[in-house]
Amino acid sequence: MTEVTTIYDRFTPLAKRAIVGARDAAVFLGHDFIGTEHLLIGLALTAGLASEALRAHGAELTALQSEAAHRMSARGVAATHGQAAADALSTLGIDVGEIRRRADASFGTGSFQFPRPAFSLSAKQAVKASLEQARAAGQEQIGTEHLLLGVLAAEGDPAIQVLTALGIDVAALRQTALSRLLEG
Amino acid sequence: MTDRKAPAALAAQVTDKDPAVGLRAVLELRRLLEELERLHVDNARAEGWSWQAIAEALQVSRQSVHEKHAARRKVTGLEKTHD
Repeated sequence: MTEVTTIYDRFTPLAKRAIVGARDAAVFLGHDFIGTEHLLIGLALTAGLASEALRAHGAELTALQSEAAHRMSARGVAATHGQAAADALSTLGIDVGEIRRRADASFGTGSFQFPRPAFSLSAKQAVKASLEQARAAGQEQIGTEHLLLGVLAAEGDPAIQVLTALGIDVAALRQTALSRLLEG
Repeated sequence: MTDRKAPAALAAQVTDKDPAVGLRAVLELRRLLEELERLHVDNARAEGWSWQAIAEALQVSRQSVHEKHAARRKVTGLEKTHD
């Protein structure tokens, strides 16, 4: 995770917003990790070159959200909304709900999040791939278009399967994202 | 669960012969620990503590606490980027 947080330093404000959107999507779906499907949703709901490219190829936010949610639940991704994690601690005598109530009172609502969704291995690899895209283009900053190319980098990734299921030509989408990246 | 029963349950869970039970307990404790560290580091910074003071309180090096939390805080706008 240390490498990933160092990479964040180079994210544009929009790319950072896309990551927050990805985390929100994970929390909304009740998942305790941020995967590449969440990154894709985060990119689609954030302004910038990535969402423009997605839209240009027919990938609309609502269709992406429902297809991703459907496919994740079909392959057995648990939507526990943190219940399993809280249960594991409750058998240890730790009351997560009580900690949250007290933390909200002391530090403000939402200051304590458990379990806080962490990046999955493939999402970390996507972020690293986005850095490589920037390096290859000789660019300092990582924008949403680099992130999108990072998500699309791993052949057979579930995020790519979501796009394919929606009838989107992923190779053409890559090409569009790459040309916008090189223009920008 | 009553307080009286909790320590016994903790002892049972973290010494369970089933690796799945014990490892799950360790995972969730680590996640809880990470979240609490994040919460209290943020609070300490908001209270004006230096990275050095936080590092000493956590008994780790200034560099490791800074590496772990400063970039994250910059991303979320909690920390100025020149730090």
